[in-house]
Amino acid sequence: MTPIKYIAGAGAITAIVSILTVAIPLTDRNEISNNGGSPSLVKDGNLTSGSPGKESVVREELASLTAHVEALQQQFASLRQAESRAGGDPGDLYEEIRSLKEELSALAGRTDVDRSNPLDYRDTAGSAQYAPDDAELAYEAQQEHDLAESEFQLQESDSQWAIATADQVYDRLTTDQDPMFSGEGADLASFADTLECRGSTCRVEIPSTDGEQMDAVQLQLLASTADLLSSGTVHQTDSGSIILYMHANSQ
Amino acid sequence: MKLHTLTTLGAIAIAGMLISSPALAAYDWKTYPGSNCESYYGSQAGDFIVGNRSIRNNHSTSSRWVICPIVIDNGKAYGGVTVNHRLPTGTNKRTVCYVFNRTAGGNSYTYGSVSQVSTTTSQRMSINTNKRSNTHYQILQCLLPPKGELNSYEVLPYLF
Repeated sequence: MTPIKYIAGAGAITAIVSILTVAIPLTDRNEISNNGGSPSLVKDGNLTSGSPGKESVVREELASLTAHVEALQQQFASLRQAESRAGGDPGDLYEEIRSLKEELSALAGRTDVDRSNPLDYRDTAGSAQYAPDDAELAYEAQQEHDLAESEFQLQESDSQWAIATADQVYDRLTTDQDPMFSGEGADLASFADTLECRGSTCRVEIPSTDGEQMDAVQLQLLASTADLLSSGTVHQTDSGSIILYMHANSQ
Repeated sequence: MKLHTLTTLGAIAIAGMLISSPALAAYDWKTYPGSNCESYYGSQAGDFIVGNRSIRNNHSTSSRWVICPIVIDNGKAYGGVTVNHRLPTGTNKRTVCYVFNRTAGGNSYTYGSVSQVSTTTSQRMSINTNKRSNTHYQILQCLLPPKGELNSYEVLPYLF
């Protein structure tokens, strides 16, 4: 018996399996029995006669063929499934293509800016510039804060102006020392963590508090010191506290 | 005589060119009425009287904040904001105004301010500022003393 080989295509395998099935019909109806430790070929329930040598060869061949047939049947089943997937239902393929197209479209949407949308496209001094996203704005704000802090630290800490202004600002924050304002001058100092003046700048840190209150405190603080410190920058830290760098009028 | 005529014509031509030059035409001085402003705190809106040109803090004892929009054009530089204010009932009360530069997502900002004692006649006070980039916007906020008025404000072009 020639060993069975996979040739090609489901049709060829089908044909070979059919031939084998016809050539060894015994395997359809017979079974290998294990009788007292010595397996025997059983036909219609009766042990067939024959010499032990031939019987052993036949049994081995049958076992080998059975294994081959089982392997072929499995391969055939696999091919059938593959064939079914490939040509069975084109709707599935179309669905897959459509899904991929949607994914591609979504990816393209993330990288392209809709130039017809004025919210996404701005013009600066004649050159195209895209609106920065939140991460870029946060980075820019952090850079500005770092710069303000380093500039402040470089300033002289014990100048006459710094000492005198720190006293004045503290007075403004604790009481309404400026009669020019009315109804202002609440105890703002209770909201401030630190007050420090150097060179021509005062730095005030206000710890995180309720958003509306924080806003009111900032405005009040700025208004109370407007005649001393007329410009500056304000930064919010990651923890939510506010740091004001307030510059003297000359700046 | 001929030379004089030619000189005169030349001067007129040069003046015409200067007047029509894009640099001058680009200056954009915007003036807004004080009535453009509104109470900064919604709960205090009833303390204001908004006229056809000005806004007045009608509270008798407390100062009040107003907020006013500033419209700026992309690609143009602005040198500052001038506020016209007065205190019809007298003096000795200070008006203070701020221009805040903020970003769209803005937790950080820069500011410039000016304060001045208001009088019965309208006074002008200017805040030097400059829009930093097109990702920033500007707003004007003023603390008006009791009975203080903000008559108008001007957004000034950057003149050099």
